[in-house]
Order: sequence, then structure tokens, then C-alpha cells
Amino acid sequence: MDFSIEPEMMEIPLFGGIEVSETLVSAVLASFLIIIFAAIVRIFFIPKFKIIPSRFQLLLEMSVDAIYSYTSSKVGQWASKTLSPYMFTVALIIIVNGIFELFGMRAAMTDINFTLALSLITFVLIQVYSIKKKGILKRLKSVFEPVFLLAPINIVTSIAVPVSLSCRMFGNILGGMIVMELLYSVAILKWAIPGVLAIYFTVFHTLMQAFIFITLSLTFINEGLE
Amino acid sequence: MDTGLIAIAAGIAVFTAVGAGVGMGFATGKIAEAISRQPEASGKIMTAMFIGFGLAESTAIYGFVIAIMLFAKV
Repeated sequence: MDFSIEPEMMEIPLFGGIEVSETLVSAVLASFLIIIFAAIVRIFFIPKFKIIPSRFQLLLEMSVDAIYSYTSSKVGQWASKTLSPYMFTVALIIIVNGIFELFGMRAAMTDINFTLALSLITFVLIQVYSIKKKGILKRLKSVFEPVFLLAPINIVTSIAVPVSLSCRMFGNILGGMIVMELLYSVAILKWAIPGVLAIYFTVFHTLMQAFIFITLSLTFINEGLE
Repeated sequence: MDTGLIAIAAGIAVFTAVGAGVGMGFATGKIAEAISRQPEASGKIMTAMFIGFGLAESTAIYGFVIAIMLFAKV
């Protein structure tokens, strides 16, 4: 067994050597891949869109429509207009990072900084949308509901949201990674078996966590809107 | 001495998986009931099932993460 919870550090030979972690490299690489793909789609495919769609156009339109309808079924029409692009982005980043694990890189979700950053964004979104919808006074008043004495519990509940979101994703992906590392460390199980089990422990876990993350974020945001 | 105590602590931390297992078992039973009663709603039931599983699983995962963190110190 050779794994650690802390990702390995490596040095980039720029400006006299910058220390970065392995997970940061894979996160940046995933972002680059997504940006390049988006740029290619934007430059070469979107100007060619027709009224009678081609296969690729149909795929894009269906995925955009699916994420819009899913978001608006959770948070309603008003918030889904701005939220669904963000949620789609988050899901895409999580999925692409998870797929990286199949190629032997360490997924960015096995670093608690990544998941904590995503869930802190969710926390900020909850507050922003709640204040935007209800106004700052009503938002402050909702802390003291239903009874004045329950204010500490309400505050702890809202702080628990980012903690639980980040720990869930981190633990789940790390668990999958550790199981795979254990498999690789046993001599008999090294051959062919990881290829089958990676479908569950890497691909399925990642898809599941991406889905759960966006669903729970939308649910919490909807709670703040009411 | 310390190493053994840490290993025991890691074992106890993983004990949280019991709760998740019981909870997921109950949930699966109810889901089977719901689908057999109303097979046309199985899509919605499945979505709710995955979210519920994610939530139920998380308690087990908290214990697991703590166990791994303890185990790293052995």
C-alpha cells in the first residue's frame, strides 16, 4: 500500500521552481481540456447550427435542455436561469476529473481543498440567492425562526452544509481510490480485475457524486429561497 | 502501545457503517414496495433513491475518512 491522504508535491521549473500538488495539476489539466473543447464547439460548431439539427447539435441541445429542466424542477424558473449553467459546469468538472483517475492520475476530488472550494461556492450561492429573493432583513429574520432561542441551531445547520458536502465527495472518491490502490498492491488481483472494478469504484462513484453534489446544492438553495 | 490503540480507534470509527447499512437496507425495502405498487413512477423513485443513498452513505464515509486519517498515523 503506497498512498497518502496528502497529495504528492511536485516542482514546476518556472520562476525558480514552484511547488504544486499532484491534484492541482490534474485539476488545471481538466479545466484546460474543458476550455479547449468548449472553444472548439463555440468556434467551429455553433455558427453552423441549423433549424434542422445534425446529430451533434441535437446532443448539445438535449443536454442543455435536460440540465435546464432539472434545475428548474428543483429551484423554480427564477433561479434556474442563472444557476443551471453553473451547476452544469460543476458537474462537468467533477466528471472530467474523475475520468482522469482511469489514466493513472490522481483525481482532484481526493484533495479536500478542491471539494471544500466547491462547497464554499455553494454556501455563498445559498446566501446570495436567499438575500436576493427575500431581502437582507427577511434573511436575517429567518435565522431567528421559529423561536428566538433556536438561532444557534440555525447557524450551525447552515455552517454544516459546506462541511458535509465537501466531506461527502472527498471521502467517497478517496475511498474508491484507496480500494483501487489496495487491488493494485495484491499480486494476483493486479491483472484485468481492476479494469472491471474501476467501472464501479471510479466511474460510477464519480458520476454518482457529481449528481448528488448538484442535487443537494440545488435543494439547499431552494430551502434558502423559501 | 500507541499503535495498537490507534488501530482499535480506526476500527471503532468504521463502526458507523452499521448505521448506513441498516438505513440503506430499510430504504431499499421501501423502494421495492413503492415500485411494485406503482411501476410507472419508477423513474422518480429511482432518483429519490440515489439521493437518499448518497445521504445515508455519507455517515459511513465520515467514519471511513476518520479511520483512514487515524490509520495514516500507524
